[in-house]
Order: sequence, then C-alpha cells, then structure tokens
Amino acid sequence: MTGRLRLLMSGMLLLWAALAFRLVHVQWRQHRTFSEHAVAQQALNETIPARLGDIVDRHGRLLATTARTQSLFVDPSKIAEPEVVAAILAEPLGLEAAGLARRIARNQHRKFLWVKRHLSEWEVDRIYGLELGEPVWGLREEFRRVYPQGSLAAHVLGWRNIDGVPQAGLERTLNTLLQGTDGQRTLVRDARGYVIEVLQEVTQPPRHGGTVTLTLDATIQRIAEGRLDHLVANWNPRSVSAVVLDPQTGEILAMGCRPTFDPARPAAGRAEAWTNHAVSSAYEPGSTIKPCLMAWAVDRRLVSPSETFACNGTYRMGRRLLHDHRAFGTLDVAGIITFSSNIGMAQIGQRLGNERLRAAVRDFGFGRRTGVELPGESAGIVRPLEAWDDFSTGSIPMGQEIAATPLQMIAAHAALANGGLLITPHLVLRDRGKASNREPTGVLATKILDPSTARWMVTGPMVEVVRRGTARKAAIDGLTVFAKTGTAQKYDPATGAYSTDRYVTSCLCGAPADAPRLLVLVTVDEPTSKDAPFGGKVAAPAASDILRRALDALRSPPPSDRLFRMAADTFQHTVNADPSSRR
Amino acid sequence: MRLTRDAFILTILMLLGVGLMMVLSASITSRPSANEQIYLSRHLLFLGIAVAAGGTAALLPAWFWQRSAPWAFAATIALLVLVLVPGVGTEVNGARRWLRFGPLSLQPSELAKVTLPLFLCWGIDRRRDRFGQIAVATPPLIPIALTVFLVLQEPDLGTSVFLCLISMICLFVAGWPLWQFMLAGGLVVPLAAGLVALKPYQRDRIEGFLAAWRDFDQAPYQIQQSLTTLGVGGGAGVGLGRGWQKLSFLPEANTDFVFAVIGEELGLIGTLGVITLWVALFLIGLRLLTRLPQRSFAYAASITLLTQLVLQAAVNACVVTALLPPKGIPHPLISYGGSSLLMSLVALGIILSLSRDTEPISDRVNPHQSPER
Repeated sequence: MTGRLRLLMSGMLLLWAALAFRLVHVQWRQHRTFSEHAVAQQALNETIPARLGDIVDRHGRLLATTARTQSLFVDPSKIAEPEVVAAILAEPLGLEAAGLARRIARNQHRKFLWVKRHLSEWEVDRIYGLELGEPVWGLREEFRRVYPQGSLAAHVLGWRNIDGVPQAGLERTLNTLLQGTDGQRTLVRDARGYVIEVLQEVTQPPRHGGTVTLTLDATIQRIAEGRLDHLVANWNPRSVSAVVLDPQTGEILAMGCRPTFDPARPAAGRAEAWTNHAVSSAYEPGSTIKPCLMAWAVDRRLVSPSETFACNGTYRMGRRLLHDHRAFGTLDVAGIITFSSNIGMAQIGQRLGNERLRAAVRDFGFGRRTGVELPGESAGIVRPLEAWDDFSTGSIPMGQEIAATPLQMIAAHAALANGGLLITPHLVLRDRGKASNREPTGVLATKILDPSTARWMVTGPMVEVVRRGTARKAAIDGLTVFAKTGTAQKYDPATGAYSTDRYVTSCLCGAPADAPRLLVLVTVDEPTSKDAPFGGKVAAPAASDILRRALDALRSPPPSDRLFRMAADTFQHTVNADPSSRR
Repeated sequence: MRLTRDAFILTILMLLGVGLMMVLSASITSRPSANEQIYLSRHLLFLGIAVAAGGTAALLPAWFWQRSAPWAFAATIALLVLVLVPGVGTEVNGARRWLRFGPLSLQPSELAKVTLPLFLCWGIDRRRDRFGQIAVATPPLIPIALTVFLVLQEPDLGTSVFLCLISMICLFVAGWPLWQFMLAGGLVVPLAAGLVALKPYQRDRIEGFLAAWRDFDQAPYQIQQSLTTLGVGGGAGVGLGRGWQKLSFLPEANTDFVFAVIGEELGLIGTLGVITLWVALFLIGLRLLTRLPQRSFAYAASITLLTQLVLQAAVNACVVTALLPPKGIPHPLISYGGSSLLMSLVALGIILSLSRDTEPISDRVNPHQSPER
C-alpha cells in the first residue's frame, strides 16, 4: 500500500471515527434532552372544559343550565377564495355571504376564525352535507348557557358572554361554585397537528360545576314580574322593581325589575335594562321609613305609644315651615304612622336629635350594603353626622336626605316583621341547617329592637295604615295586612329643590300581621299621571296583589317540594326519636 | 482473493438489506395510506433494476470502462447542458437539477459523480509518464472546472463541492504531482470563498447550520428534528417500526434523513452498525483493489469510485448529525430513490469489473490483444 493510499485511508477512518463519537454524544449523552424535546413537540395537552353548573329555584326548577352545542370555525390562511367558501357556508347558516367573505379575507393571516357559534342541530347537519375542503373548516364543541325560563329573574341571574365569562348577577358572584375545574387529557399528534393517539392514563377528568339552589320561588317570581309588566303598562315609569322577602329567614323569594332583558341575548336590548334597581339604585325612601324610626324611638323609650302630638297642617321648625296635606288635629304615635304625618315625624325627630336619629338609621342597615350575593350593590347614602343640620332633624324622619335601595328598605322592615332581627337578605338557599362551604356569604342576624316593640309596630300602626290610612288599597280579604306607603319627591339637581312632578312611590306590605310570612316591596320610579301618583294609589294595589298571590303559592307548593319536606320531616322525626342521638 | 470479493459483495448486500428494512419502516406515516406499500414496492422495483444494472456493469470487461470513459463523460456534459435549458430541465424549488422522461427522472450531476472520475483516470493514464511537465499536468483541471461550472449553474453547491473533492481524491490516488495540488488549492480556495458569498439562500443555510451549534432553538427545522430523532433512540432504539419522529416531524424520513430513523428505531447499536458496514466495505474494497497495478486506470478509477461512495455515506451521516450543513445528499444503498440506488450499484459494479482482471495494464488497454491469449 502506497503512502498516498494510507493517507486516504487514515483520512476516511478519521472521518468515520469522528462520526461515531458524534453519534455517541447525541444518542447516548444527550438522549434525555432530546427525548424531552420529542415528547414536548408530540404531546398536546387538551383542556376538557368543565360544564357550568345549573342554577335552580328553591323547588329545583331550572333557571339557568348548560347545553352542548357545536360551533363552526374556518382556517382563513388556507382559504384561497373567500368568496367561494363564504357562498357555500352562508346559505345554510343564514349568514350574509358578502359579509362573511369580507371577514375571511380580513383575517387571512390568521389560522382560526369563528364563522358561527352555537349552531342548531339542523345547521350542523347541513354543514356536514357541504362539500368543503377538509382542512379549511372544523366544528368545535362548546357549552352554551341556557335560561329555560326566558327573561325570568334576569337581573338576579345576570348573564354570560358567548365565551361563558360571567358579566353580571349571580352568574358572576357564584361563578366559583358554578364553573367547576377543567380537566385535561394528553394527545399525541404529528407535525401537521393530526391527533394520533389519546393517552388515557394521564387524563385528568373535569370536575363539573355544582348546582346552586336559590331562595327564589319561580312561581312567586313570575307573579311579581307579571305585576311589574302591568305597572309599566299603566304608569309608564322610568323603572320599577319588586322584592318578595321571607322576613323570618331573610330569604328572597322574588326580585325583579323593569326594564328587563333576555339573559340569553343581553345585547339585544338597551344596556340600561341590565341595572338591577332593587340593589343598585338608591332612592330617598320617603314615608316608608317612618315606621322604622318610630319603632326605634319607642323601643329606646324616647316616645311613649300613648303620647299625642299636635298635627294641625302646618308646623314651624326654625326657619322652616312644614306642611301635611291636611290638618289631622291631635295624633297619637299610631296615628302619625297611619296618616303618615310629616309634622308628627318632625316632632319625633326633634325629640331624638340628630345623633340618635342617625344611630336609628344606621341600626336599620341604611348606608351599608346588605351583603346580598349580587354584584354592584349600592350602599345607599347616609351622610356623616357633621353634614347634618337642624334641617336634617325634620327631613330624616320623613325619609329625605338619605337614600336607600329597595332591598335595604325591605330588609329594615323585615326587622320589624320578625320581632327585631336585622337579617342579611340572601338569594342562595342555605343547606337546611347544615354548615356548607358552598355558601358565598354569611347570613347575619342582628338584634336591633325588642320583640314587643317590633310586634306592636306591625300589628298596631302598620295594620291601621291598611284599615284607614294611606294603604287602604293594599287590603286583602281574610288577611290582616300591614303596610306603609311612600311618595318621595325627586330631588332636581337643575333647580336645587324637590321636583313637584317627579316622584318615587313605593309600598311595603306584609301578612299575616300576627306571624308575618311574606313582605313585598314595590318601588315605582317616576310614574306618569295627571294627578299626584301617591304610593297608595300606584304601588299599593300591585304590592298587595303580589302578596296575596304569593301567599297562595306558598300554601300550595309544587308536589316535589312537598315530598321533599315530608321526607325531611320524617328524617328529622327519626333522628329525634332515636335516644342515642341525644347528648 | 475470492474470499475478499465475496466479503465485499456480502457487505453490499447487508447495506442493501438495511436499506430495504428502513425504507419500509421510514415510509410509515401518521395517516396510513396505500402510499406506504407503494414506497416499498417501488423501492423493490428500483432495487431490481439497479442490481441488474450493477451486475451488468460488473460482468462487462474492464477495458470497456476505460474505452467508454471519454464518451460517457461527453454524454454527461451534454446532459448537464441540457438540464439547464428552460423547459427541458425540471425546476424544483428554484433549482434545475432534474431531467424527466415520463415516469423516469435523472440527475445528470449524479451521473457526473461516476463519469468524471473515470474520465480523469482515462486522461491521466494516457499522460502518466509526462506528469512532470506543467503543460501535461494541468489539463485534467479543465473537465473538472467545466463540470463544476455546469453543476453550479443548476445551482447545486453541495454537489459541486463534492465533485471537486472527488476529483482531487482521484488525482491524488492516480499519482498526480503534489505541487499541482498546491497550485490547484491556490485556485480553489478563493473560488470557494467567492461562491459562499454568491447566493443568499446558500449563505443562510450555512449560517443556520452554524447557529445550531450555538443555540438549538435557532437551528433550521430539519437539523432540530434530525438530532431529536437520533437522540430519542438512545442506546438500543425504540424498536423497528416504532419511531414517532418519522411519522411527520422528521422531513425526508425515508430519503436524506433515513439515517436518523435508523438512530431512533435501532439506537446507537443501529447507527454504529451501519458505520461499521461502511468502514468494512471501504477496507475490504481497498484490500481488493490494492492488488491492481498502481499505475493503472483500473487502480485509480476503482479506488476513487469506492472512496466516492463511502464518502457520500459519511457526508450524509455528517449532515444528519449536524456536522455538515444540510445538503440534499442521500445515503447510498439505504435511502429510498432510484437515481441514487442505480448509480451506487453501477459504481460498485464498475469497481467489481475493474477489480476482476488483475492482469497488467498493457494487456487490458488494448482489446485487440485479448483474443490472442
């Protein structure tokens, strides 16, 4: 072998030796690194979305649920002729071809574009029947929020956007209970993204969202909302709201507003319709607040129930001259409430003084959020004591200079109806005595009045209001109804004075007086009428109608509920009968 | 002698066997289709044709190759010109490298890998005694320059560089004077530097290759995938037919990057095994060919062809392991593809033909003397 050949041979062997070393390095020493890289590019973690939980009323009737739907998307980057694809897709989906073509053309740099979401089954069938290039389109399974009762309780439930993100109402505040936890599975895919295999062993199943039971009663809710529609038709107000509350427990059985919206298509109406006036709007309460302050004064023994006050139509208070709409003569405490005398209340205010007046207002929860499970709750307005002057001493007792939400107002009255406990009004049904971490907020009960004072106010003066006072239209045959109406002139920022033609009228009523089961508050903002639309005329018939029919509904609950209650009672009896369960 | 020959042929058959196995495995795709079977049956068809052609080449007498060398080279040059004619040569990705005749296609530059060394040896053999004179030693550079120029026009930088390398090895083995190498080197180095600066896409490719050493994520996709595929295999591999990477992540899995698939499925054992086969082929071949008279056409031509083939395998393996920049060069005898398989087996057939007759050169170069023996 010549020298040249030896050189050639050595060179070649050196080259192969270098290769062998390189292979040992890549395949042996870097094996782990490259294996990880390979797994990373082959494995695809796919989220299995958790189903949103249902929202049901106290009897298990569905208010919000979730359905599976298909949504159609295209890959615009793979579409050479948007007009052709748009023309094929538009007709079966009921879309406009030219607009769709423009959307595809505009997004041609992207790889994903929704064509139409939440298709009907019929649309899905038609899409499968179309002849489209395979990589151009796809269907993705999505969840769609469905509200089986339509717009019923829309303001309480709230709504979600198309991606399921909660925007308002209980959907927002209870989202952590409703949304569950997404699952995950690992797929093996190839470089083109086709799924080759699903690795079952690493699948993390989704935890679907839980069902939330509300205190609402769909029947009572429907009664209340029907009555609201009636009020809108008759009085054409800016807004109107109704709340039905169980004063003993703080459970809200109905809460509704007008104007309203369809939670499935919230964008269809005006955005103002989304406001839940029962918790987000604060009004000067007017006379409706009078029983609360009077009861507080009696409870603190600052006024005796037998005391009388001169109410002769006009009353001078410093530089201010107060008027009642007529001269009542001498009125006792019950009479002041019955006839809603401003002059009588002003004298109570003078008796209390600003400091105690403010304490009374705060004791009833005004100026503080109630804590209901709804977003955007207003605290109302109770100004600091420094801002109160001797004018306030006369104004506050007649429900001016402060602002309260309808929910604050009904909660305050519930404290009178239940014997003196201020209970957090709430919408999520408590788990029948069992402690549950699913309850988003605590329900507090604060004793603010002596039971005897509270009972006296409800069974005495407030029953008189219905018998011979301002709320005679609230009377119901066969029932002792207690009530208070209010007609507050609206403050006009333009003139800096109270308006003479714009009012907020309200009526609070409850029954039966000796053991109140329900309270109803109807608030009408700016009813339009030729003569003064007093609360007794506008709101009282509506409130008492809701009260009467709601009490009827309570007496005949749906069958499933009766069975449930019977079963629960039987269970209770069994436990109590078992001596070993007693400590 | 007979044993060496048999061992040489056995090594070739083993490499072909590995190729058959890997073409079947590497053609499996993530979406099963009839194409997978088509790859295997077409590979078998190519193999049949290539073995027949290689066998024919081996059976032809040695003098045939010496006599036909100038004609074969002339034909190659003609085809290299033809492929540049618009409308005749088929353009793929901006390069005009292919001649297609219906279902058949041919890369003239593949042909040049065999005919250029043969022609160089033919020329040298005629002037061997006068190598000392510069006027005699320089002419071999002319066909080299012509071929390389034509291939660069396609453009095909990788093959041009490879042809230069093969030509130099040929001249080296043939006993070309060393001072001529220095002269040629003086010409080639500035030329090569100029070439690199020429085409932006070629520069990008080389820069991308260099980036792979600094930052893996910056490396070209095929280098990333090739190294990943090899690395997944580890020592023993994931098992034949069980590779994931080839399913679509690794481009050209059954052609230029088949070596990486061997690495994934058969591991280090597989890749080092293939290396061993190539080294064995080279050493056995040298043992077979060094018996030829050193100053003969057969000696220089056969050793050059053997070196060319083994070097091609090494270059392919270097590309797969990111030791060389990506270059569309298949792994001889193993990659799927008719052109490469045919030319490889014809080259091996020529080596066998040239090695068969170990008679002195004077007896073989003159065909008219043969019948008298």
